[in-house]
Amino acid sequence: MTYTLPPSEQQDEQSTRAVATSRGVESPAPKSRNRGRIALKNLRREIPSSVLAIMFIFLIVLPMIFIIIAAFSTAVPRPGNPDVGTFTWENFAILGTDRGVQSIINSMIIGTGAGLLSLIIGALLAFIAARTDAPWKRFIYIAGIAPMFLPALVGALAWSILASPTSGHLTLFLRDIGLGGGINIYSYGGIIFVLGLYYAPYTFMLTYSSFAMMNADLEEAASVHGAGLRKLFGSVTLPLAVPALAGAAILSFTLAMENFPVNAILGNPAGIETLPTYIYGLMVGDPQPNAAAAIAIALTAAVVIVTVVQQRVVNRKRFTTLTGKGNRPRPVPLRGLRWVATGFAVLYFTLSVGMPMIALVLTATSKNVYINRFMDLFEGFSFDRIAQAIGQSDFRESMTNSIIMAIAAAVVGTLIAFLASYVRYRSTSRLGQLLEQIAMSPLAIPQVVLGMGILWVWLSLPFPVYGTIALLVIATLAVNMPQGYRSISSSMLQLDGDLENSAVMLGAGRMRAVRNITIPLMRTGIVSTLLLLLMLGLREMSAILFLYTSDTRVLSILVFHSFENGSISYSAAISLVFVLLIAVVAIATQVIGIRERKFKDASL
Amino acid sequence: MRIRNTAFASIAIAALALTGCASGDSDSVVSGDADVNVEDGLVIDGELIADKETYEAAKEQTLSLYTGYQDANQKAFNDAFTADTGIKVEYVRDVTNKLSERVLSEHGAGRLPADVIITSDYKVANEFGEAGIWEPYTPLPIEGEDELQHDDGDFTTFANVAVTFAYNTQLVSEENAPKSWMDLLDPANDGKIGLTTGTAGGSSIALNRFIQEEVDPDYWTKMAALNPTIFDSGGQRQEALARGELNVATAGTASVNVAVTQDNAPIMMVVPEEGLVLFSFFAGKVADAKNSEAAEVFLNYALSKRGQSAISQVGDYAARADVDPPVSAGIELPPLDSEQVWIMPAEDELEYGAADAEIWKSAFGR
Amino acid sequence: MKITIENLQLRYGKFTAIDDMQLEIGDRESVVLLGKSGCGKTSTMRCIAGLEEPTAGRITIGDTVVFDAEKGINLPPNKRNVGMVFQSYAVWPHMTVFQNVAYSLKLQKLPKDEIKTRVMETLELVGLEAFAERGASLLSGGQMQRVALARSLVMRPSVLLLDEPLSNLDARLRDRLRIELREIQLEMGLTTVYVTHDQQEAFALADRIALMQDGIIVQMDKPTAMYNEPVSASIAHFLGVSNVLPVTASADGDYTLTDAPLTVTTSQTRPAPGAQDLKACIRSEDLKLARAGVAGANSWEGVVRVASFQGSSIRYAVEVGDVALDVVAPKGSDDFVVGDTAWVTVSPAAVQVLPEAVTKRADLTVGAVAA
Ligand SMILES: Nc1ncnc2c1ncn2[C@@H]1O[C@H](COP(=O)(O)OP(=O)(O)OP(=O)(O)O)[C@@H](O)[C@H]1O
Ligand SMILES: [Mg+2]
Repeated sequence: MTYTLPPSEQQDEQSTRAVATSRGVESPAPKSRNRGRIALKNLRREIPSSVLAIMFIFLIVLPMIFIIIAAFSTAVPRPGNPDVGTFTWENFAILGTDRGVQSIINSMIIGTGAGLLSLIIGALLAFIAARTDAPWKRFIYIAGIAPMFLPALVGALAWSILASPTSGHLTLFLRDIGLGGGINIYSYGGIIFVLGLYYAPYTFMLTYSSFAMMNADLEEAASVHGAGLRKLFGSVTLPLAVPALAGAAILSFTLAMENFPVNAILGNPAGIETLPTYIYGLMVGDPQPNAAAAIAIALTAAVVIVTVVQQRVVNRKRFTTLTGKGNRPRPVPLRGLRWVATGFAVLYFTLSVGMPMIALVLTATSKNVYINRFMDLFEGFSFDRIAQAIGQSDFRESMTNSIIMAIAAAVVGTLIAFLASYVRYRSTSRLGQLLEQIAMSPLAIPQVVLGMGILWVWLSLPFPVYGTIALLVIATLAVNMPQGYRSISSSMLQLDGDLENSAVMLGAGRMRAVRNITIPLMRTGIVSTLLLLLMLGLREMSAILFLYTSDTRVLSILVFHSFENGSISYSAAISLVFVLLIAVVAIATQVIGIRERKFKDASL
Repeated sequence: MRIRNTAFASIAIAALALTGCASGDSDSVVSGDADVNVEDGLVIDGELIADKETYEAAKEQTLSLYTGYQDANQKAFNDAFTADTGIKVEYVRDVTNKLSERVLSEHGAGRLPADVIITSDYKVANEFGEAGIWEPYTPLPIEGEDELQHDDGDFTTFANVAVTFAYNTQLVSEENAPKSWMDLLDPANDGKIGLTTGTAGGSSIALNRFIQEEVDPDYWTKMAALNPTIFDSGGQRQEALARGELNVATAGTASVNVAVTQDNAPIMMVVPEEGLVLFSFFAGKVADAKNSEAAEVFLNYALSKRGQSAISQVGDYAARADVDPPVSAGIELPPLDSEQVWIMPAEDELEYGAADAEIWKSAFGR
Repeated sequence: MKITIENLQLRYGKFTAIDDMQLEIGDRESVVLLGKSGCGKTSTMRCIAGLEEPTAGRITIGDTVVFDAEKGINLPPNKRNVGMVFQSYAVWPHMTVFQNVAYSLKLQKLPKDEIKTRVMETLELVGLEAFAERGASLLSGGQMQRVALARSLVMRPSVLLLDEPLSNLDARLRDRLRIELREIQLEMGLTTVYVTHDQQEAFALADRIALMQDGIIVQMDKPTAMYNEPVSASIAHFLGVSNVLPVTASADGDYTLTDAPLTVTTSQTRPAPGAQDLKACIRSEDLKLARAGVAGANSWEGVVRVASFQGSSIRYAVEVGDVALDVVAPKGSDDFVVGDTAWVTVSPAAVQVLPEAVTKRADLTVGAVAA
């Protein structure tokens, strides 16, 4: 999963454009005597892209328009709303209030801190795993991506159990062995720590390949010229990885800034309010939807600016180092630091997965949920609570809903992504690039905001979708469109279009050629996209925050709900099953990924 | 590989089916057999719930209910209703504001599927009235009891939910425990008080009015001086109290009950000297309801002695005074007409709600 | 099948890959497209195949108009009965060799036996009969190219487009397949358009050669005519003339080298007077080396700077004034060594004075059917 636009193609286009201007061959546009028929023909060619365009309008464009309307209006767009509302700037006044300013500042602090922390953790782990001679390399790689299947929501919950200031498990443990308290997860530091921990896998994945594929010759040249290890790292390796690092840092900055559950669970007890939690409050608690829309626009603007910067940085220097010519980079000898490096990975795994899982298990099974001394936790165990939790009808309903929603969103999402990618890279449609931009745009729209827009759109449209699971599917489709599109496109770009064309030349119709050639050849790409979307769909929470109802709750919402309703042991029990479900899908994704790599190696 | 993938899917589905089979809903919360008589219409415990004609029609229907009432409680109540009347219920539960947004939108689009709506916010119910969503209906068991009826019979008080405060039993001993709302202002509680946002929702509206009327108009300012933590949700507030991050916190009786009995949470609630604060849930029949007869039977049942005691059994106060008060966390709560119970006068919300919220906001600088 | 291309134009965005092309290919004719990389050869083929949609023009195959921009006609590729061997082979890695080749026959719903015989026949033709059941992803580049060829041949198209179909084969196999291809073409009466970078291949296969530059066909001729009478210096250079020397016309009808005070005479047709940017084109094997000067035209004194042994011949770089001439002389008893003074001579009949480039398009008529 990477988050930049497919770069290779853009590059190609630029280079042809350059050739074109240098050659300066210009011909007159075709004269058109028979406009009508040509128009008709063009129209027919645009049928698939128009279908897509309509879908994207409903999924992404209209929601944003509704948010904008709401932000500048005195009323919320809704059928039967007696007053239609008038234009106003008033809603934006909320950004100037003490609370508004404080939320913006808090979001910036948390975004920056978590962005940096996840960059440091992720990039360091990626470097260790990709380029050093540290032992246990396979484990280090797994440690780098494993936290992916622990949603930040569950991570925050677990860390609130572990490190709340008076009775967190870790807090008590340290106090009981005489190391004094001082831990408080309900703080800026705590929020940054948890977000940094759970967004590090994104930076890990973004930087790993650039470290792994970096051309070793460059480094070797430097070391032949007598550069020492440290100097080599400083003068060659690091600068080469700068584009990937900058991209990763900015990605995790935006993800942390627009995150809702962690900010809600850990920020609220500390009185730290961020833009997403403020929006939530204005939507659910003290309803001022127009003000919420205004904040949403501010948040979106901030994320858009940062995303644009990210794309600039990542695309400016398309790494010439990434030749992938199969030259194995030289592992950097760490000497005495070998085990320190591995220790760092072990520590990260313990903090991000080990301890949180143990805390959840203890909370779900221990006789004593609320403890004074650490050892009280171990006075007795019972699985009754877990059994009771999964026996309850709302758990069963939520689990069914989660699975239905995730599967539906994954299947439809893969289909749409395939179609969009096909239109973009395989057809002559003029809409291809525009569609690509729309498909990628949810990256720059905070999920909470998109969810809000989707709510208003579907409340207003004359289709009875609100209150059904279809609405959750729609929201999940919209927010995960960029990931699905990226994933399918990278697989489509690797496939020479002439493979399909040659079937057409041999007499097959276009659809048949797609079915016989393109789909089988993209099989692994399609399956891994499907699984990726399935995993993201299972984890989804922020986008559906305003869309679920009591009978369309999903597991993530149930975890959040039961936490809000005050039953921590119940939340922990559900979280465990939830994580297990995601882990199954995540592991399947990895297995397929490995198979695909093997398949490719074999065919080279 | 194709086989493998389907294998994954079938494992997931099998797991699903397994949990489905293993479950079996927990025993019904509402106990005691009702005396149901269907010889001439539906009569439960001697009260007429529906005449013959209505009941015959209602039996064929499935009631659609939109509710803001606590999920677990609504579910228990519905189960009792279905057990006693044989009429099925499909319900949607949501927080007040989301529910009202949905009802208004669906009504505006002419496709509101609900037959009965339950909400805790008088203002919202009143808005529904202005939008023409209600159809006035007086439940048979309370004919003539005007104080339970609102807006010319548009909707009826259905249940009352109690708000009070609770303390952490490990940090505060029983003899030092606060006994009144004023006791919370003890300087020892500095930084150790938990509240929820006082700007929206039935409980904060009621609490704000109560504080102004019965305790001290400057109470919130004094409270603010003690740096309380303000939570977005009651659950987080109670969790913090149970973990000992707070000495005292405002609390709902029902959720304290759950935490104490289920998780052995070291917390205990108090019946304050100035009183428990009660706010009401209102139920009404939707105009042009598709299942009109079922809606009437539901409202009649809800206000019958049987229905009202079901509410008391799930831990809330009934609307009718002739039903026993609930028991919560081992404490038998004072009866509805006791001095220690203060009920928010519904119609006052329109007059004071916004102003009280402003007082709260300015006290806490929000 | 006759192919007629009229006013064809293909643009990618603002960039024009094919510009106002006129081309007629006769029934059963084999035309080879020759030209530098990126000049639009593949693009032309894709237009004929129907894989690109030209921005203007008309294409007719046989009696069918398969594309007409003005009438809005665009027959899809699968309705054109055109076979194409792709530059990138496009062999399907998820199928066996047999399945690859049998694909078109399966689409035609032929009986199993017939499919089998026809596929095996074709595989034999390309020398892959032993590999029928091999997965196509396990083949070498040359084998894949042959599968691609077999796959197109088996469906017996009326027109066959071949985009560098032999580029990846070793010299021996290439020679053999080249001859076989020509035989198949003649035997089956195929109309073929063939792209190659290899002149030998072009000369061997073509009834006519179309030379492309920058999206334009600049010359179209029979191989011998193309070889003997290129219409521009750049074509001559492309066809292997290594001495291309800038000259200016002098008053007496001869030419003076721009870079050295030497006179060049030609007995060939001269460009119209007043033509600019002229080049004298001389093949390296037409230049003769001698120890002493010869009386008459085109005899220049120079110094041998490089001598490299090439088996039966020796290649010299001879510096004459500021010009380095490329000379290939048969190996003999009196070979020159570096530093020797040498006289270079060339017969006026072997000198062609041509404009650097022609901007006018070649005048293209229907070619004769190969005898
Ligand atoms: N899809 C495309 N988009 C933009 N430009 C293209 C596209 N396809 C080809 N071109 C450009 O059109 C020109 C002609 O391309 P074409 O493939 O026909 O060249 P060619 O003569 O076959 O070259 P080669 O001998 O290298 O195969 C090239 O400059 C190429 O960059
Ligand atoms: Mg080509």
